[in-house]
Amino acid sequence: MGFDSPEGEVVQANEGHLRFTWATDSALPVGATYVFQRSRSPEFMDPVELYRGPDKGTHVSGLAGGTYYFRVYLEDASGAGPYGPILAVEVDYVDRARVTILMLVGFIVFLCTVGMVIGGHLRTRSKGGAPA
Amino acid sequence: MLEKETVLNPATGWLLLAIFGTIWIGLGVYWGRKAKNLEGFMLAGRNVGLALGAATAMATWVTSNTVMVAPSLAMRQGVWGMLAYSTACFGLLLFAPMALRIKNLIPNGYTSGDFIRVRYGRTAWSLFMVITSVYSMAWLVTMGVAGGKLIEVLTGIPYEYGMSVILFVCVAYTLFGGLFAVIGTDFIQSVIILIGVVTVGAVILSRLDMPVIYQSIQTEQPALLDVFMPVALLSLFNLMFFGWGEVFHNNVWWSRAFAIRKKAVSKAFLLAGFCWFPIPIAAGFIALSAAPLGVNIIDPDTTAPLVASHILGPVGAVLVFIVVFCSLASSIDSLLAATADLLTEDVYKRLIRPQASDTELRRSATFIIIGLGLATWAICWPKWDLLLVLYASGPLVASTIWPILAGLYWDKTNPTAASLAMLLGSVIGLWAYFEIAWYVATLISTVISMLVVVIGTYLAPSKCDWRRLSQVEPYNPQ
Repeated sequence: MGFDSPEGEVVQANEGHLRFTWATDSALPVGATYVFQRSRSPEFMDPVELYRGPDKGTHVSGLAGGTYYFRVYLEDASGAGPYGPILAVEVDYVDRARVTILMLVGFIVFLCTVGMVIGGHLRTRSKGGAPA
Repeated sequence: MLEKETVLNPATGWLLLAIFGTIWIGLGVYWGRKAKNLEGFMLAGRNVGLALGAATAMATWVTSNTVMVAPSLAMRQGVWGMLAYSTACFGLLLFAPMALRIKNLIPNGYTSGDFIRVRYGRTAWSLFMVITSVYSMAWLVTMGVAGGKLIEVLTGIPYEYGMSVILFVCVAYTLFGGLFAVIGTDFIQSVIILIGVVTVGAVILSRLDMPVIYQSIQTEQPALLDVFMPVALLSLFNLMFFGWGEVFHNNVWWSRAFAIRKKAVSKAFLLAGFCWFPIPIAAGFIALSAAPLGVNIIDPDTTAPLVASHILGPVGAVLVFIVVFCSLASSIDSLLAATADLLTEDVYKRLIRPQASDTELRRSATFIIIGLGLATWAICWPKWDLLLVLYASGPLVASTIWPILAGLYWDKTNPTAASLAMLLGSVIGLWAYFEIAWYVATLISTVISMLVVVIGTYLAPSKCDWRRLSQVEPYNPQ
């Protein structure tokens, strides 16, 4: 079994979240369960189990910048089944300088717009429909 | 299959749909008797008081997006995503003084289109109508999709059935009752929403082990608590300006400004804004606990109902069902009514049949409501991603912020600059949406629009004849 989506061996998730779905050739056998894991190394030295259950997908969020590896497999009473292909996910956020500039622009527009409404209201509130 | 086991069975889901569908349609028929003429049908007789006015504004602004998209944002962007969504309340707060100005300038106005047409002329009006039509349809579609997804995830009723029933119920009672029914049901719905959100939030809060949840998020989802999470920070102003653009331009809010009594209009919008502010925060907070609680989320749009039903069981699922049903109904009916008013007044009456009688206009509004309902139903069928649909319209509505503000408060605003601001803001904003990222598109559109209005007016000031706005005529019922 392996991932339906996202497709490929390496994918970008530059917003820090990603939806995974997986597929098998047949229905989930009785007593079996899917196990979905994440690791920071391609060898899965310290895997973190993110999901265990019958669903065929999950959504991962809150990833910090860096590279992550994901895999999914079936597990039943006899143990873990064959592991599916490993998917590498690279998280590369927008750089801080650009974020700061855009935030500054946003703040200036915020001040101008609020100032426009409040200033306009103060100038016109006693004038009814007369010119501003 | 991606489906999860549901907390409620389909029979319970159908029963809830039948109960609330019957109540809303029944109230629509009852209140519809008050609408003796077109003015009553479209603007509830322009005599809505503070309590009903505040309730209808708040209930309309608590959409499926508030209770479904806010948690989805918290799930994807953490604390900042949750706070970013709540900034939409500034839209209502800032609209409070604007509503008074609107009532002073156009005492007999019907729609936001009236204002744009008289203030800036036909070119700006045409652009405005395209923008508001696309946005209104996107908003309607997100609510239809959210309704279908909610019912499916809580009860197992297939998405297509749930979405169809919700749209049918809302079209039916808006059709019978016009704005009287919309405002009346909004009042009841706002009370249910507030009680439901407070109850669900309080019970969930009492059952969560906060230190454990915090530790789990910090270890497994660190970016959700990062005070410098780039995407979330950028979406802060993006979402804020999107919310402002929605409120400032859309006829949903202008029709309420016309319908509420002058003395109550500013207070009603202020009260609605303050009451609305904590709702997305409460809904978003619930979403942050999804992973630590082991709730498997496949589609982030379904986070809130899944977490609430996981913690509270079937009773919680019923509560969430009722709250979201009310949120959906209170917004879909408002949008159907306001968009039908806009198309009846600005397109049918002004362009097609200027001599149309009150009865003909009422019939036209009826057909438009049915048409909008059918179009929404058809577009909802593919089960879109809510964020994808909603935020694509962000650059469009943001481009109207400054043309509207400058039109209301400045004497010398250049009409050509206002048209160019909407055009360039929309085009460049949409380009940014597809070529850069959704979380900067609305900000870019607002900046472009603001600069074009300010520079255009500075270089070529125009003189506004304010009397033309006050001379917009009321209908003469026959």
